[in-house]
Amino acid sequence: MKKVFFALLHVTVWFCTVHADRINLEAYAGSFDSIPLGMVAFRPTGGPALKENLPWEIIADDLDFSGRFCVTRSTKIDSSLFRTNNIGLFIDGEYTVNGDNVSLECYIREATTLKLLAGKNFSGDVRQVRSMAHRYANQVFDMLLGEQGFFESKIVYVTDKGSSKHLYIMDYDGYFPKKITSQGEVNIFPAFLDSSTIIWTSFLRGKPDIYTGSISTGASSILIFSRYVQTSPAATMVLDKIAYASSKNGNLDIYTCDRGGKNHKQLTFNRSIDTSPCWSPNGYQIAFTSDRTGTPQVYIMDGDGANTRRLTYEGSYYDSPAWSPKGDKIAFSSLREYKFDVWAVNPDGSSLTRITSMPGNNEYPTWSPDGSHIAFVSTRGGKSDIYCIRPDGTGLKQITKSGNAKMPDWSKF
Amino acid sequence: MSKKLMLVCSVACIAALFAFNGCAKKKVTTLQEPEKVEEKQVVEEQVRPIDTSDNTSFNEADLDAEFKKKVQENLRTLYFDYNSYVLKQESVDKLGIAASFLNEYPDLRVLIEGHCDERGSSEYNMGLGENRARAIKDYLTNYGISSIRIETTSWGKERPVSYGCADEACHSQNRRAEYKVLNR
Repeated sequence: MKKVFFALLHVTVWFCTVHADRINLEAYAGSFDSIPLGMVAFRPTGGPALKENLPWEIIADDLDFSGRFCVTRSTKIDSSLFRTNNIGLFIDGEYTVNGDNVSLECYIREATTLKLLAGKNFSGDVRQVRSMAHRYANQVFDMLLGEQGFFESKIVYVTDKGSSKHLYIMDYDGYFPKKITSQGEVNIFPAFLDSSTIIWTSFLRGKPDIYTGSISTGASSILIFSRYVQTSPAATMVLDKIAYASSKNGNLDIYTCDRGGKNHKQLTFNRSIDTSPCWSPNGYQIAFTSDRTGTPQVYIMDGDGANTRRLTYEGSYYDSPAWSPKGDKIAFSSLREYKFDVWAVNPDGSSLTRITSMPGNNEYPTWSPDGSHIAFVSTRGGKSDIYCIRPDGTGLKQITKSGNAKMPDWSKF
Repeated sequence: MSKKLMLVCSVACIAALFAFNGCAKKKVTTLQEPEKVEEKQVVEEQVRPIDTSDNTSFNEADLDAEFKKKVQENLRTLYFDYNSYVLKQESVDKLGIAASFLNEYPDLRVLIEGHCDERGSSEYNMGLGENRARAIKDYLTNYGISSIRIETTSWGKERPVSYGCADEACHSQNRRAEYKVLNR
């Protein structure tokens, strides 16, 4: 099984471009909020038919999920269906299965003339079909919108089995969960350090320290440690720095260090609990939780600890701040009427809005790489699973179904 | 006349002298011999120095069953109110016993682990558990136990005694601080 995952990670998907890289969308879609797009089931051209992980369904799911497209699915090219749904562009394709190999031809065409605008060819192991489909969906995103899609992004999270908690990584849509940690009983607070490395809190030595590990090999080493508590690491890729909370000078305070675990600097000096640091996307500022006024509230300070200001006032319990990739919002969980929900606020403290309003606790928000979605943990089904929602509270989608997933961190593309 | 006066005076003086002498003699006889002070060289109790070479990681000591029982009886789990690290009166009573026990066994080195109930966020509870452990350490050090013998850490809400609590009776079991005896 392990080998399969490595093969998946190190896949080289061959593709070639038939036509132009950028398609002038305005010619086909006018000013739709969500662009109508047709998706026609791919035709098998040789070998057995695919029974699961159908690439055209994966591509359609990706584009639909983004909220930027409204995909109409059909089994064959149907001009009247296109007309009814105002579809200017559609995707179709072919595939060939040969033993363990599969090759995909993906075409994007004009709906009225059926003219081919761009084609891509992918081939590889049949177990990589999902990766190929996600990659093509990203290319469609780029061709039509000129933006980077997040369909190849990953989510690292905690799987909780009784007293043991281990880190897993999965595709953003919940597929291919893979265990990363094998040591220690309690591994929590995972965060991406870069696309192939994570940092987290482990109790391997019977107390919390911060570790770093490779996603592909699982090889890990201790990074930030002392005889006291080290917890809640967060990285900024802009500065290659880590912020974390430690009790080495009293109770929990916020510290920073470089990604190698050197040059530690203490940023807060309160006789209160200061924790949950998270960087602004440009690395200038850090949002964090502090109970210096008696209850845990969210604060913002500069990356050197200066200019601290309070962000939240209403409600008595806030935690887990997460700064949006565009820098315009800070999401967090807020406890009201004995349950947590995900809320967001502008960095100047204005426009406090509630994002989730479902039964159970809804906590630990993390933003999609493009800021279009927030993944979070909900106990709405009685068990703990990761869900996705748009910041306007629409588009709720359940990502995990294991019933024991917690503390997600979404990769940056 | 003057010869007579001189005589009287001399007699009086001698009498007075005698009287004074007699008085002084009397006092000496009432004084008791001072008790002999026993002198003993004060030697500091022999305590092995604590090995701090690996002070960043904690290894639980291997105790024999009999001593383990003693530890459990004297270093008892302490419980806290919701979202609080203030020591309750029952905890203070237990800490008196713990402090005497630690005084009795100056070789012991302990780790105090703070825990929280499953409500609230994981991040904040890591800090709360730490504060609970520290409140106990502060009490014991004020009692005279050397701080080098007491380590603290926090498990936050990650290791409850009971999972999935629905009522306060269950939650209250999780808001606790436990001792572990460490290798020296």
